[in-house]
Amino acid sequence: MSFLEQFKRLNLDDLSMRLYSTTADDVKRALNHPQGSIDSLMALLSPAAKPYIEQMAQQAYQLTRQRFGANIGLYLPLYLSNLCANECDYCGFSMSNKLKRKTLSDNELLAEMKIIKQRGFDSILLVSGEHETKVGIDYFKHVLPIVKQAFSYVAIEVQPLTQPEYQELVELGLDAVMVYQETYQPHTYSKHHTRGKKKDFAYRLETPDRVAAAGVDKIGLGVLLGLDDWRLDAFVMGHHLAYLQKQYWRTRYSISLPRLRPCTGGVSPKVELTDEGLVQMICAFRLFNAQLEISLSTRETPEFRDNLLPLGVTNISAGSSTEPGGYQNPHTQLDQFEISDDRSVEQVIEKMQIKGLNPVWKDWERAWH
Amino acid sequence: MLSIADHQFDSRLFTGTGKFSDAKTMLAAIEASQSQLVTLAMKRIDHNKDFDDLLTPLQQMGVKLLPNTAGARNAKEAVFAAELASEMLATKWIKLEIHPDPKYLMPDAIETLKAAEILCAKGFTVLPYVHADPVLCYRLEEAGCAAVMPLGSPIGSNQGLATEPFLEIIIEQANIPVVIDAGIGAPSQACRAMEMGADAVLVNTAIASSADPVQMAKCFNQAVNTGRQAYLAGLGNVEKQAKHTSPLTNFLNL
Amino acid sequence: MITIEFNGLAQELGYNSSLLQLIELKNLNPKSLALVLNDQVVPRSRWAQIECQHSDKIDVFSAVAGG
Repeated sequence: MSFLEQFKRLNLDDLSMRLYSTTADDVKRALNHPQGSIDSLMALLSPAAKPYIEQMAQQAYQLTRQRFGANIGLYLPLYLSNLCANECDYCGFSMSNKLKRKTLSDNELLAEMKIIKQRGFDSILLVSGEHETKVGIDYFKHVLPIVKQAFSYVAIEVQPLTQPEYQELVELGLDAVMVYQETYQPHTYSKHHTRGKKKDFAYRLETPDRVAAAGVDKIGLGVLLGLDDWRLDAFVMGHHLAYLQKQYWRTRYSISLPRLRPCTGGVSPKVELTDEGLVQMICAFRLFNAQLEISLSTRETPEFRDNLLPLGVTNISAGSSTEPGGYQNPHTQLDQFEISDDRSVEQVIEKMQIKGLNPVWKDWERAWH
Repeated sequence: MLSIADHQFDSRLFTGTGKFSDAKTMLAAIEASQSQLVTLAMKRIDHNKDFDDLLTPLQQMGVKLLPNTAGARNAKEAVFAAELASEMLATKWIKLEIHPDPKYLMPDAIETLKAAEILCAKGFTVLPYVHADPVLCYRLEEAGCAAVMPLGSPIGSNQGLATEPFLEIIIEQANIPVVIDAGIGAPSQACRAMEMGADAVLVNTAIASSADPVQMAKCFNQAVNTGRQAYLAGLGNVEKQAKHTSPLTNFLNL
Repeated sequence: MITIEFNGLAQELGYNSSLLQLIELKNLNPKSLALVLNDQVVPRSRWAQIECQHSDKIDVFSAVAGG
């Protein structure tokens, strides 16, 4: 049993129709019973919820403070490699893009780690393109113990692995796996993923099942908002989240909300997600799931990020580089995507504290292990 | 319709056979409750008393019998009791209850999980009676139990749903039916349990100890049906005014 | 004659008595019972074949009212 079977039973056209025929009364009802109800999530993601965004924000704010206090976790991505054997038209790492390919050597890795550590970070996200042969399980098994010596919380965002491979990495200290479906609409998925293993929609869809079964502490879901109708993609992601939470109750879950932005590939969004829409989505997921972690990257602008902080976000990055070796030697042409918020972490924290929120560097829960 | 393992039930009210003044009243009350699942205990036959044949009339009524392991104080005794029940009643269904505490009959979580693992492996359809402990319910589900039966309040106490916040979590999370057992003392409490989304309730003392058990059984039947229908219809709004201190979304310039 | 323990009490019994004969002797309805011989549950189908032995411990259980 995996999410694939449940996904096959979902009728996307029907879900879309229901999403778009939601009424104001449905939204009011959802605002009274949002927790854990997939119907409420649908109402809160629907266009009918637009007039209620301020009320959603108020409730989301209260719920987030009640569950997480005034704490915002800080992490940084560390790009290990930009090698990739996939062709994804929205991504700067696509194999056909002419850019200098690079995988960090041990010395380069240590140099990057040192800079990140000096800035105070203790939680790190290791990122690579998807290149099974050159940046595969053996490379990760080599790198993880090195990284784990310096950072107490280590997440990866790499190609989907097998369950035994995830198990091996857990034994080496892996804490979290981010694996984004990009879109839950198979037709759109195959349009954007034209070469490489990532073409396999179903294998990717079943990845969180394998991650959870391997005993990973946290799983991050996400869709690339804009590839297709973000409301529908977000709603199906809600189904995926609800399924995982019921099936694998020992695991924590987070979502990321990357909006499609211009990159080397130059794909423009099919359905634009406005600022208002992104606020709606954050609040809808917070109201649906009080425990969910919501992560915000530097893709968004400084002012907008500051405004989003109180609404349900639990983890942010700041001062990120999205190229391998980029903390030591900042360029821009190797970047996976364009960074909109290039403030330093100190500047971000200053704004955070004005809003009464505290930076958290270390995830104490994991410090036991 | 409620499904547990491979069995379907029209009624979401389960009843027990204990504490009635006489067998005739018990049978009339069960009939009036329209319950289709009835629990039984087991006992070594007493030399001095004639024992009433409880089984024949219940079997004639067509209800499904659910023997319990009451009296078992640990996993080993419960497994033995389950085998005894299976032989006696030719059923693989068992209500697993283990209470080493004779005063309040509180269920032993550790022994219950142990026994559930053994009995599920032996092919029993196990319905464990447990405290309203969400993690324990998860563990019992993983062990292969067909349903979980968390308590509302101490058994026989008629104190209602004292464990409500925990029952809500169990109902939200469980992938198997949740039957609220023990402590339900009034039809309104059974109704509330069903409104919360419980799959069924088990009521014994509240019916048996009423001055008019047959009438009370009818009332519970109605309450359970009403609660279930209310759950399906979706409860209306309780107006919770969010505190509008300072607006959080002005930056959107809506 | 042999002596067995039946539900906690000593009981005299003729040689070659089967478990089923014991049940009939005690005037019990075999349909709603479970029988335990020396701490082992014995399936009803075998009651006729098993002979009681001297100092056997036999317990017979029935369903009773309960919640």
